Amino acid sequence: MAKIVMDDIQKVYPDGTQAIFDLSLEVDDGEFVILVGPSGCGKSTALRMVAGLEEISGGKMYIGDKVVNDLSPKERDIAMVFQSYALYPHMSVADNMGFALKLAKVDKSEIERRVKEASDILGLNEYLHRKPKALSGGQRQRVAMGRAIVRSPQAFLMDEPLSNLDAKLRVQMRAEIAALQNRLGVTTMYVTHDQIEAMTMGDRVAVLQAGRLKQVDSPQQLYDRPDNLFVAGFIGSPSMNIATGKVLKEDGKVYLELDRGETKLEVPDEALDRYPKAADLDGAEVAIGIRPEHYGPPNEVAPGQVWKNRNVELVEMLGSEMLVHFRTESAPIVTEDMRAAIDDDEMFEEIKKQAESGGQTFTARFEPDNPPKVDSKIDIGVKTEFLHLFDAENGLALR
Amino acid sequence: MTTQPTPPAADTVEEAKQKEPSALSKAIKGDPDDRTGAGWFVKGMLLIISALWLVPTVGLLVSSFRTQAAVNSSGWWTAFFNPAEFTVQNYGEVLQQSVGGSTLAEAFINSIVVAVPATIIPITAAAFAAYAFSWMEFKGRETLFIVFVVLLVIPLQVAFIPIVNLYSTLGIQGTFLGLWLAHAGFGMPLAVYLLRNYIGSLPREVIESARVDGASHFTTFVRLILPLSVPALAAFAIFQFLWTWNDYLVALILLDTARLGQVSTTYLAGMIGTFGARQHLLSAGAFITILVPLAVFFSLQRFFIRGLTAGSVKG
Repeated sequence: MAKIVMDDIQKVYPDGTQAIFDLSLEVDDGEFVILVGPSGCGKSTALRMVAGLEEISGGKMYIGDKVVNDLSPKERDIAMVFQSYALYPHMSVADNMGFALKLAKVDKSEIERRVKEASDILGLNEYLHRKPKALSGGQRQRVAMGRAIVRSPQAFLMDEPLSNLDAKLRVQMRAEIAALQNRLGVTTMYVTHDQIEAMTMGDRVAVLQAGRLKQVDSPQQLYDRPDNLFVAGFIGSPSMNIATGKVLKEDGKVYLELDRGETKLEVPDEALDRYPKAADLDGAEVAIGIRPEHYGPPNEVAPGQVWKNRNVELVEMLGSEMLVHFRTESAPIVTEDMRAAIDDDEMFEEIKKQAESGGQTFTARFEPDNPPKVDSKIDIGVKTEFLHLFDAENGLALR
Repeated sequence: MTTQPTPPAADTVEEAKQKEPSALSKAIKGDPDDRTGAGWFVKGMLLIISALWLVPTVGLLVSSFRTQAAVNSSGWWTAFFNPAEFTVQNYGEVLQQSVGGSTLAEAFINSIVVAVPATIIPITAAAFAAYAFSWMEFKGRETLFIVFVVLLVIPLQVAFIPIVNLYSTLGIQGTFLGLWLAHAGFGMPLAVYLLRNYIGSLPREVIESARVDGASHFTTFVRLILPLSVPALAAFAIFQFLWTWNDYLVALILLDTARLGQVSTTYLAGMIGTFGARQHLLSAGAFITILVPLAVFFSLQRFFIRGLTAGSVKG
């Protein structure tokens, strides 16, 4: 086991396109780090560079204390779990798991012992003599894990290992992999585009976008204190409501102007403590982010935090909660960052269209009682102490 | 199976009728209850095509069991009305005939001596080449591959004079080695092309997985690529074996048959020359030489099923 250090890693393809820019990331010994980002953000490329399957164009990569830039995958002593599992179809489960050891000329009895040990952990004992095609998806996934475990490598690298499983199995395997990693204490890098995997499995999450590392933090920190608009928009489901607004200072208090001046919300000190730079601005355009759960009934917030006269566009009753979609006249942020954060071109086009009309639809999450009628006007309480504030130009948090 | 599967219960008769596939779709796609998945139309066409292709072979077989007089005087189909004219004498006779210094048995063995290495050599070399063309990065890979494929269109006749010159210089003109190398060379472009298409379509992640597991290119090739490519290797082996077994021209030019003996094709050709058109013997000899290709085909055809990679990827 070892730590993995990426120091200013670059990836440039022969045709000149750059996939990874200045990636610096440290994965501690035994740590579980998730690489997450929209499709095409370079997360898999980064992982493959650690594995040695992709050449490193610049920077230094360390596994343990060794620089591994020019080492083959074999010499790096890492195990990889692929999205398709990549099992050897003509070998039995036991041979699949023991293949790497066999190549390393490990004793036959030792191979048997380690395969047995891994299959005990994974519950594969009855299947050791089967071929992969006689296994279910979940079992194949386990064999792929087993293949990694038997080697006791320096690190596990996992490239979207759960994306081929159905939803129910995914939940189960998610917990199993996290528990297994915890138990074995092997340094692990895990690539996914699934937010839930990112939030629930790892010690830390690295968010990538367009080949650049946007933020590395614990899942909760990432959710509570996004460094920039991209992370704010990408992490969380339903995603954070983001709109442009103005910071105004009146009588020593800070207000946010929304709906082109129609709405004024008070910003309490808690929010200013988290975004101190916002207090220095007056009359400046900023990007305001409000998570759907940070709304509430108007009587639960201070009078200055009530957003009045919102038109209800859609109500979704989800049993445990209720999502209310309401109209605001504050324009959305339409940048490439936001397109990447939404990771859905159709949805982004829709937001772009809304932007032309000068407003957009926000989503609020409420307790599922007294659903409002569609097209009615309601007042909504905004827990502005949880507000997020970003520079409208460069998207950085105003800290 | 004697019992019919009970049809799924339908609420009304109309509903049951609607679920019944139309006659046309049944004819082409087949009855859903039938596992073979083909309709009577498709099956009928296949039957007709098979019959058409079999007629000459059956004719050959029948002729080989007829007396010389019968063969020379009437068509083979008339034999069914005169069972008396059947004989096995032709086979006994043809096995004892010596043509160009060889018996049929010797010619038969010579054919095997030619065809087996002439199949194994190009397959081995082409499999290595196909792996390199698919999974090894080197400069000029695509260009080299295109050059190889272009060689497919070169007729082998244009190469005879240079090859004979070269072989004379090297001192292998007329030897088995020369013939093997010539067959290997002429078979190689198709072999590389076929095998690269197959090996290149093996799942990339499986090969990468082997690399991460510590396999060198050679290990990957031997432990992974070869076992996974058995269907393609078998397919090409059948082609190449049949081609070299049935080859007449290359053997005639590059093999010193006077010294090393005839191969079965030159033997059969020589037989006509020696005895005139003795169809009854020719058909018996020809039928004996068919046996080997048939055996090869039937023993390898099960590898044709390209199901071997199932289960390596996806859930």
